[in-house]
Amino acid sequence: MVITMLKIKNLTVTVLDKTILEHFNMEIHAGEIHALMGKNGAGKSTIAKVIMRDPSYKIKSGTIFYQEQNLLEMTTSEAAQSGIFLVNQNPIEIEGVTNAEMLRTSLNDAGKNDMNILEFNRKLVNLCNQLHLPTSFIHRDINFNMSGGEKKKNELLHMWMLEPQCIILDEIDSGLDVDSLKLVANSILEYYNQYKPAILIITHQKNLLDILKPDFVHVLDNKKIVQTGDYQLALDIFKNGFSRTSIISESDQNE
Amino acid sequence: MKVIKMNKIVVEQKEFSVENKNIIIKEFKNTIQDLHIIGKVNLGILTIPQNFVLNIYLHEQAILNIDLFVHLNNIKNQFNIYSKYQSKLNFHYSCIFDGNNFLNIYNFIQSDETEANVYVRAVENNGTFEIKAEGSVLEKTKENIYLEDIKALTNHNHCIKIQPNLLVKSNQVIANHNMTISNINHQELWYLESKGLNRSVAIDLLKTGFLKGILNLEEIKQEVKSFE
Repeated sequence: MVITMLKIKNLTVTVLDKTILEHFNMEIHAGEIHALMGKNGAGKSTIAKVIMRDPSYKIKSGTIFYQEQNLLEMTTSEAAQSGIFLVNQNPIEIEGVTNAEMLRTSLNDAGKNDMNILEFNRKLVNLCNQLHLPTSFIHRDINFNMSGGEKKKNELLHMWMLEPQCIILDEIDSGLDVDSLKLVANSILEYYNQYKPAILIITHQKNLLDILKPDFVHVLDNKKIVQTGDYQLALDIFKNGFSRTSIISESDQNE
Repeated sequence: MKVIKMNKIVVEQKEFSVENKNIIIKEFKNTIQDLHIIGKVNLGILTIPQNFVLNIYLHEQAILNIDLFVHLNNIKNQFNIYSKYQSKLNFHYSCIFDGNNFLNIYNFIQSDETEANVYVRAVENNGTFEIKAEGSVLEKTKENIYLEDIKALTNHNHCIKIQPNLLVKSNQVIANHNMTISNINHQELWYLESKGLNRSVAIDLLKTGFLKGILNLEEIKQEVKSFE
């Protein structure tokens, strides 16, 4: 049976009275990998933040359902506790709050903490090894004084611990060197193979999609999805650019 | 992570010397206290009396790392720090406050090649706080470093006043101060909520994180945690 994880219908979003998305539609089922592409400033990160219920974005019309629940009636915490996970483009640094503290509190708040402290630590140690992170990261302040690559791996550490069912990766590949990108992509692929979550990837990079091979590729332009295809569409865009793939609206090209 | 086990003591003498030791002071019996530091000392402080004055004398080449966490409730406290040749001070003062409170920190740099790093983190529970931090670098001294970083978090719009004052009479000094009064950082709060923390829990975690961020001693960090 196909389970609909996210169903976004006719969504119009504004920020500071500027319309960023208009009549945006998307549907993601469990076990599907979707890629969202588009020019800089097209609104790709907006959809990621709207799904994660960032209060800075105002919903003017439309609906978002997550596993048949009205996501727009959920708080950010409730959305996260129900299984949505966002890796931000630039993960924020929080001095004084450690990874372990945050993760343990998060699992407790979601009622998912069935591990004792030893099991919890052991799991974190194994994940650090898997992500090639020193085990000192367990007690490091969240993303504080970490390099760009370390921050992204640190976010994956959170992902593996919290075991989300719907993952949004907002340019997780930005700031990663070739080896780190491979490691990060393979870790996501391993997670996908193990848990079969729904994944929405926002990216400009071919390397990440080469490993994760999305089932669907969407192009965002002029505030809405203008084309949807399979992985081949991404390859065409990487080869020819957006404008020559004849998917960018005429008005945009005229500009 | 190496945790140093530290003895907890009550200071009863008005004049007290510490030499090359790691100690935690759980109580001062006197409201005016002289503290002499010789060699390298790691010092934790857990409580201070009302209307408290602590005179800290850093002897030549002394290194003092102070971590302090207190709950202030209608407390006036003053720290007078006298630095001698090549001494080094790392002063980390964390507090939660209720009622009306005053903190004065005076650094008297009397000699050469000293270094003082003063960090204060204050979180309002429900009250007011006036912080005065003064660094005084005397004439004819050279190659001293004096840095102040004072931050307060408020959530009730009560009065918090931070007054920095640098009095530099020497040409050879590096002196810097940074003061901030703010509310909880909304981006940090949203980030924690996006990881599944309930809002009130996330706020508490950010407050304690703000207080712990400057502390080094595990015992003092634990005190902050237990206050949550």
